[in-house]
Amino acid sequence: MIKRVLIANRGEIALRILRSCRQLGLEAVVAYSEADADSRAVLVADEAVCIGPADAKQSYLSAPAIISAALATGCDAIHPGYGFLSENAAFAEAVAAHKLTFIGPSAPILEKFHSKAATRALLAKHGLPTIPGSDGVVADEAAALDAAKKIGYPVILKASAGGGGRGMRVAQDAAELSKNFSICAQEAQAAFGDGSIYLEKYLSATHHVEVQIAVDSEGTALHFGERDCSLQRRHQKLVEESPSTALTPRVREDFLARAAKAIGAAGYRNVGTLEFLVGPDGKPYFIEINCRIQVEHPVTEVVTGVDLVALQITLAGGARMPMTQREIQPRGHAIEFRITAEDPAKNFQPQAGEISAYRSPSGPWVRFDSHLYAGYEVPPYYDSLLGKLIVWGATREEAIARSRAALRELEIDGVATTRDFFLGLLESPSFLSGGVTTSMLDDVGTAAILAAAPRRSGDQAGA
Amino acid sequence: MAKFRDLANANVSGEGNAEELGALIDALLPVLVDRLAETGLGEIEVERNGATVRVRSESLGVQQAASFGAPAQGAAGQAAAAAPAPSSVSAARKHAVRATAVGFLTLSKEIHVGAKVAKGALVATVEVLGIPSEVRATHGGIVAALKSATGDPVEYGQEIFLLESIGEGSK
Repeated sequence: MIKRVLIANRGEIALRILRSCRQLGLEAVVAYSEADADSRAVLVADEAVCIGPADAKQSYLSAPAIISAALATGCDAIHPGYGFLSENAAFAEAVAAHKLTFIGPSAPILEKFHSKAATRALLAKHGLPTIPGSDGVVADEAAALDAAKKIGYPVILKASAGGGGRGMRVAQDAAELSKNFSICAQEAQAAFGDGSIYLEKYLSATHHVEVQIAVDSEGTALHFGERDCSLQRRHQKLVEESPSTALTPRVREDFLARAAKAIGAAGYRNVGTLEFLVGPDGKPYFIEINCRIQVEHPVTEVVTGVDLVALQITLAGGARMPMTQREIQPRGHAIEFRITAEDPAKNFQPQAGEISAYRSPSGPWVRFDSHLYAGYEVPPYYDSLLGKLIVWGATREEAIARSRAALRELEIDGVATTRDFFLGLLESPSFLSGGVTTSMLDDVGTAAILAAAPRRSGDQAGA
Repeated sequence: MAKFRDLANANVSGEGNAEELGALIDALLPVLVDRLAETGLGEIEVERNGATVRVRSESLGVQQAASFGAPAQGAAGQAAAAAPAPSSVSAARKHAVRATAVGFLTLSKEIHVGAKVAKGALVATVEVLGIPSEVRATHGGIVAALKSATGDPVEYGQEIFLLESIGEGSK
C-alpha cells in the first residue's frame, strides 16, 4: 500500500496529483526546481522539497535527484505526472530498485511498449486494426507498386529513418507513385543518410481518437470511452472532447471493447491511452500507446465521473480494479481547451512573465485545472501550459455554449494566451459541425480563427 | 552574570579557565549579542586562548530546527516549503553555504562553529543515491552557525551553515 507520494512534476498536473493524494488520504510531497519555488503546488502542499536548479536536466529530468528526494522525505512512491520521466523505463527501474513504487506501468512494461512498430505489431496480433502498409521497407519501385496495389490508393511514402513529418510524399495513383518513389528515396538519402522507404495507406482528413484504458495487476482491463483530439497544431493538441464526432455508436462500442481486451491481453498494466486515426471511412486504426496519465484526462473524468489519477495511484499500489465495465457509463459531452502562454497572433510564440491579473472561470459544469494566481511568474524554462478549461454539457451544443461563457469569464493578464483563439474557434463552422480533422488548422488558418473571436467590451477600456 | 541574562533572548554558556572566561565575556559578549540581533544568526561561538563563549538566540533556534526534515510532521513541511527563499541573513559579510543536491548530509570533520574555512574547501557532501555531491565553500571565513547536521536530509539549496568573512570588523 502506498502511504506517501513524491510528486515529481510541476504546473497544473502537480496540483492535480496533490488533490487526488489528499482525497485518498495519502501524504504528498511536491518536488520542485528552484524556478518553481513560488508555484501554486508548492504553496498549497503540506510539504515540498527543492530537487535542483531551473534546468530540467538537473531537476525534473534527474532520476537521482528525484529518487534521492523521495528517500530524504520518507516517501514510498513517486508519481511522475506526464512528460519528463513519466514513460522512462530506466527511471521506473531505478525507482523500483530503491524499493519505491512507480505510479505507472512497471519498467518491463514501459520497455515492452516503447517501440511504436513493435507495439503496433503486438496489438495487431491481439486484434486491433492498424494502418495497412508495406511489411517493412520496399526494395524498389516495382516492389512499391506491388505493395500499393495491395494496400489501395492513396498511399504515403515514408522515409524509414524519417520523423516529425519529414520525408513523406503522398501518391494518389500508380503514376504518381512511380514519379515520387525515386525522388522520395533520394530526399531520404540526403536528409537522413538512409534512402529506405516504406508505404502506408494515406488517410486524408483524419480524426485523432484515443481510448482511455486502465488495467489492474491481474490483467482486468477496462475502457473509459474515447477522446477526440483532432484539433492540433504541429502535432500538439489544442482541444479535446468526448465523445468523438467521428464514430458511429456501433463502431464506437466495438472499437472500445476491442481496445480494452487487446491491451489487457498484450500485458499492459496501470492507466494508459491507445491512439487511433479515424479516416474518412469512419474506421479507427491503431497508431500508438501513451503509457502515462495524459494532459487531457479530465475530459474522460467529467463524462465518466471517475478520478483517473486516484485510480492510477490505487492500481499502482496493487489494488484490484475497483469497478466493472458496466459501471462506467459516459454521460453528456465534455470539451477541454488548453490555455497556454502562447501568442496565436505570433505563430504561437511562447510567452513568459508575471501574471498581473487572474480570474478563473467557474459555474456549473465548469472546471479549470490551473496553477495560476495573480502575481505568479510564468518561468521561461518549461512548457507553456497555464491551465485546462474543461466544460460539460448534456449535448455537444450545450457544452459549446457553456464553453463560450466560461472562456469569456477567464481573465489572464500579463502574458498573451490562447483564450481568444478558442473563442474564435467556437464561432468556426467546421468546429461547430463536428468536422474537425487533424488538418483543420492548416486548412482554415489561425488568422481566420482569431478574426472570428468576438471582441470583449472590456478590451476597449484598456486594463 | 545576572545582567547578561537580561540581554536579548540570549543563552550564554562558557567553558574554560575562569579568569580567561571572565575577561572574554566582558570583552565580547555585548558585541556578540548585538551581532546576534542584527544578523538573525541562531548561534555564535567564539574561542580564545582555550576559553569558549557560545551565545544562542532562543527564538531563532526554534525556527532553525524546523527548517527541513522531520518529514512525518505536517508543520515541519510548511517550513520546508518556505526554506528555499533566501532568508534575511544577508548582511554583507555572512555567506550561507548551501546544499548542492537533495539527499543526506555529511559535514566534513573540521566543520564546527568557529572553524576557519578556506575558499573552495570541501566542507560537506550530500549523498545522492550513494554518490557524494561535493559542497565547497564559496567564500573563506569562520563558521558562524550550523544550520544542518551530519545525517540530516537536505534539499537542494538548503543552508548548511553560515560563514562569516574574516574582514575589518572581526579582529
